[in-house]
Amino acid sequence: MRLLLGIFVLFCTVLAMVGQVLSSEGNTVVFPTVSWIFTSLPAWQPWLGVVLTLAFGALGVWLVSTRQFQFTPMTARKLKRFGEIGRGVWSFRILLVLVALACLDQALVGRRALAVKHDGQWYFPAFRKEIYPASTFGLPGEAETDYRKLGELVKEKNDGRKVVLPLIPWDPVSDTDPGVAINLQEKDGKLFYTDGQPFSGLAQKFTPGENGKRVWQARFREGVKHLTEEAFSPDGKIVYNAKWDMGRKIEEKREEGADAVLSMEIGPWQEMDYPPIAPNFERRHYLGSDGKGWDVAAQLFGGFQVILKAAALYLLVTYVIGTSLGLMMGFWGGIFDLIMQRFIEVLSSIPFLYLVIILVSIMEKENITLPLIIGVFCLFSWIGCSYYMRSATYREKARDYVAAARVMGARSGRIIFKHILPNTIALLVTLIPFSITGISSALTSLDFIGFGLPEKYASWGRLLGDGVENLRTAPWIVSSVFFMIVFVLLLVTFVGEALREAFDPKKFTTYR
Amino acid sequence: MRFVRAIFVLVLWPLFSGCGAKEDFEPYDSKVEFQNFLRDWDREYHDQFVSDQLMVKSLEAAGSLEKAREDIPRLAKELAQNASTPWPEPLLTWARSLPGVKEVEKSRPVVAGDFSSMEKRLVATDANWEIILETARKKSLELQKPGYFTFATLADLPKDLAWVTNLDAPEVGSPEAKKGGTFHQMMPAFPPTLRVVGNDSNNSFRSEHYDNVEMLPVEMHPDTGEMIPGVADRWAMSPDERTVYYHIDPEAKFSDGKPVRTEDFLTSYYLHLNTYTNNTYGQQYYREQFSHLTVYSDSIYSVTLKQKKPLAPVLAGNYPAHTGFYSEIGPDFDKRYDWRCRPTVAPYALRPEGINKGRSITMFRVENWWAKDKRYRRYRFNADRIEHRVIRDIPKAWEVFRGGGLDIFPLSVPEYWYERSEIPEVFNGYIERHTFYNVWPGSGSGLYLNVARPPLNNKDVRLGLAYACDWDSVIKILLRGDGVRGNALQEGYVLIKDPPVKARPHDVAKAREHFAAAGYTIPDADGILKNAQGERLSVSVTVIQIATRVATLNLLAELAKKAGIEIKVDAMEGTGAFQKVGQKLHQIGYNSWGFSPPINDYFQFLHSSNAYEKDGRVKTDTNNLFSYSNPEMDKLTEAHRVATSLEEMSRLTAEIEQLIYDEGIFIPAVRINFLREASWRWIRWPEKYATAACYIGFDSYVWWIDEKMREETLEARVENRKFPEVMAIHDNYRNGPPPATGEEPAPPPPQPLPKS
Repeated sequence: MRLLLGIFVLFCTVLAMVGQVLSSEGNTVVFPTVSWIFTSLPAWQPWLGVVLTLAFGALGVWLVSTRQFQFTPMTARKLKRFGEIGRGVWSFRILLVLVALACLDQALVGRRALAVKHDGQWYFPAFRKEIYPASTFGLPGEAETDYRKLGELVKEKNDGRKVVLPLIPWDPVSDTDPGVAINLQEKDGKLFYTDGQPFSGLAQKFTPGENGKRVWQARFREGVKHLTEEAFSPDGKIVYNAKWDMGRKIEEKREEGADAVLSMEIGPWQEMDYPPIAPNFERRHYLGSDGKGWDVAAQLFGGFQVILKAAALYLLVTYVIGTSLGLMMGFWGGIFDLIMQRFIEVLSSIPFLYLVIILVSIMEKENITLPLIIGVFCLFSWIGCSYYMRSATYREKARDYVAAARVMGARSGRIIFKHILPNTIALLVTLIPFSITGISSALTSLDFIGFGLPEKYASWGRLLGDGVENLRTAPWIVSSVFFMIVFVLLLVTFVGEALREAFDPKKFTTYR
Repeated sequence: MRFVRAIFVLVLWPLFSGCGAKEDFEPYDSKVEFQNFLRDWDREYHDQFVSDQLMVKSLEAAGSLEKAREDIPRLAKELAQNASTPWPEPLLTWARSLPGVKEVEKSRPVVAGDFSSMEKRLVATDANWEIILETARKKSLELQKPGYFTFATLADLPKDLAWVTNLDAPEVGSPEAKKGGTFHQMMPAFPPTLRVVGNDSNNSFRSEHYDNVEMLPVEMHPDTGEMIPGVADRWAMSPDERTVYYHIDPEAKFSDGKPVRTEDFLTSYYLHLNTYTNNTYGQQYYREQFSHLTVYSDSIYSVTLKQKKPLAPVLAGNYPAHTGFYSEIGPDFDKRYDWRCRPTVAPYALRPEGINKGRSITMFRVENWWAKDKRYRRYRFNADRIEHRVIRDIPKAWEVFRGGGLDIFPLSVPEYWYERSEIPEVFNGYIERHTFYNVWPGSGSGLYLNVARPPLNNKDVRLGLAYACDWDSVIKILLRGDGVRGNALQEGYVLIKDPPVKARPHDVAKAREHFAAAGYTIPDADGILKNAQGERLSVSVTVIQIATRVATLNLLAELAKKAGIEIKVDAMEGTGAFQKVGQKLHQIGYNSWGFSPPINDYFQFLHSSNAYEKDGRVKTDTNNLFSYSNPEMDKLTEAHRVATSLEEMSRLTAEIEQLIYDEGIFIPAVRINFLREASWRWIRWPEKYATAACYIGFDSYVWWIDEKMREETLEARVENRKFPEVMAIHDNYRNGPPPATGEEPAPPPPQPLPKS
């Protein structure tokens, strides 16, 4: 297992380095996830990226080569016990798979094509930071290529070009699907769906071409015109309207410019399927789209990535601060403990939600970043962790082995980190999964009430909010996001339960 | 015993104390303060009048620029330095001889101040003698009398006034209307107060119980826009068209039975201008617009404007305020009047039993309302009660409406119109859908570019941004193709011709051209343009956190990327957004206003005095969201403000809008010139649906409730019987309101005043 982990770390390091070596000015290679080391750091990144890569590489080499690294027999037994709790293990495995999928990033979800073959040359837009303007592939304009459209074009023409799109060809955010036009058939003066069902609803006619303007609009019931029918001039004004009663014209009004519009060349009757779009495999909306026209599956994926990043950052900061302060308070006690406890009391009386609201209103919402929000969370979150560690340290430091270490001349640092920490770690390990569920639900609920991350981050909370708004018309949004939240939180909770059970000291010792 | 006492303290006392806590304000009498107010406001006008006259006289005496440069500073210095210095004798005598002037001494500080500010104008290098003299003369004509409130007798009333009653305009509403029933309507939040002035009084519920129902002396016909009688049964204009005379309807009564008298209009002034309500807008408005007010009798008074104005009889009027009710205006005015139900001349009154705090407010139709049989009003205001229920969530309100808990629901959001309202209740004809073309100005919805903030100080960036915004796609995707692109900041006023400018269309190539001209030529990794200094072309739009608005901006931002510009959406909670824009900290604001007919106004949005303080700092809390200052624009907006005819206003509107277009400071968004509503079958409407000038159908008060139909519909719903589906388009007013009856009505011959 150690060896596997080591090889994996080394592989990531090499991939990141390869990406960096292949890159040149104006042509940055971006591999999924591993490139974060280089691309997601602040402006002074070049040397930091290198240092991080080297550190990562060193970790891999150490993991592969070392033979000293071994779990203590006690820990090994606990892990073995964990391995015997089936529900926990399976949850853990599923979670690992989910994390691995999330790490595939743009290779799995995104609007950019994985590979494009054009004029005999291969392009890999998804794995490149810079954009290819549409003119690269013979489309008009300097804006970024719309690969989905390019794909359709290539399919139509079949001219040897190739476009490979990701499994979900939509970006998690800011990738609007304007809706789909469904063609209707006219037969014997009646309007039908392509499957022969008579049409009821609102049908429209557009001018031919890509950005066709609406020219006609009429309501149909059982395939015949009913109630209202309207025609529009190019600047959007109604120039003709008629009233119908189940296919019988009751009244009609023409205005200036009506004749020009009536004689215009227009397409067939169509029904527009506007967002929220129901799950649709043809357009690769596997879970449909939300009210804004953003793909639900892509947003779930993006939201999961955000939660993973948030959890990693949150755990690191919370547990490093919480553990060290808790250990110090417990170990030193006395005046340090007293002052810290009062400080904690002051801190914990600050209402967290107000702080976030004030922060969001001072900074522009667009400037709020994930690290910032997590930072605010961490201002308070370490308190809980430090309480546990403090009491555990108070208990442990009174034990004989600590006295023995001290008698042998060990310094405080050694006693804390070498002796006390390993004996209290079980407590932390069992806490971690519940911290993860905590941060996920906190982020989700903050987004739900509108004080969380800006729209450039995908978010389950906003998706949930959108779903609740469209509950009756688009049940697929709420059901997908609800299922996803419950599923992930359940998995994490199962793992946590199993860990707690495995690390429960009552299994191995009896107090007298 | 102790136990019994504990029970009493813990349970009974809070209960009883809660009951008794309704009104525990100390008695307060503001009658004396009211009298003082009438005198003090008088004094300011008295002093200003004397000052204006003295200024002209002194300038005329000087006769030339050089002489005035010597004389005026000397006078100013003397007056300011030593209070005991005697007035220059000839001036004093002359000032005392002015009609109505009694105390010249009191005006001393004002005169000194005016003289020293005149001094600055005289010594300016570009001072022009003719213009200075002309301006001073013009100003001296604005105040016609040395006092704001003048009390006169019927004998002082001009004899040959042409009184207008205008009872010839078409009736409003339908004769078929039935009285009775309770109407249910939603409101998104419970109002913080029922007061109409003071803190928090400008809430959205205020219009329901005040602006939309309360009556002015003269009102506008809701269909044709003609002037029709309100609380005044007749009115007249002076020959110079600056003074309006009102004769109060002898039948006019408040809801508590007290007849309406001229003192109630004076109370109304006091209500808005007293020191406790801190109504700065009101103070400014009354000072800037009006010269004086004259009371002739209990039923006749007149208002004189500083300048001639179109529609003066409507603009010069104000809502009468019950003198007895408002006799306790003191330092605790806000708290004292928070939940008091005021007597009103309106058809609907608030009553304490109708207020269910936090949940609903029911308004009751006034029993034997004085105007119930009057022309223009007899077929309106039909429901006995109007209940406003608090429902915070729109989707929830829709479900309540479907259940029959609300009688009417606005369907302006296309999603509701096209998708959510396609339900069995509609197909079965229980709920009817209406599209109504109303006559209402556009709301000036669009992007307000703050030119004080780079990169928007560059005109090419502004123009490029205008071309980069794809509003057509917004209309197509978010509005389902309904709605028309707006073209100007202020359009859709019936009386004022729409300006001929057309908004810039979406054009990526042109946008890129303009950005290139501004120096943004190098594409960044994500396609956003950079300039030679490496600055990205990025702007941020501040907007209130409303789903539809945020969605609009997100879509605009996504599509504007094609032109190489990054638009950040700075969505903020309501108060925060208002504050930010008010402080002019925004780059771009996505705003709209509650413009209302009949006349537009540019001064507050575009004049430089609303953009910058005198020391060059940006002026905060004004409506010039552009921070825009341009002498040419100042001239136009000033001229527009004092324009005396509608033709002149139309011409200036066109010129101002052209300048806005050329400068690219405003990017118009989408305009919707109709309203869509769903109402239950038992809510009946006249043939033409609502009145031409209504913001929502409910506001027209021409609907009525048919109780029989209500029972029939509810029964049908249980038995699953069907009625024909109704989806009506009412387009009578699509091309404007119906023409007024005849041309300008010839003034009737002078007639003796009726005895009242």
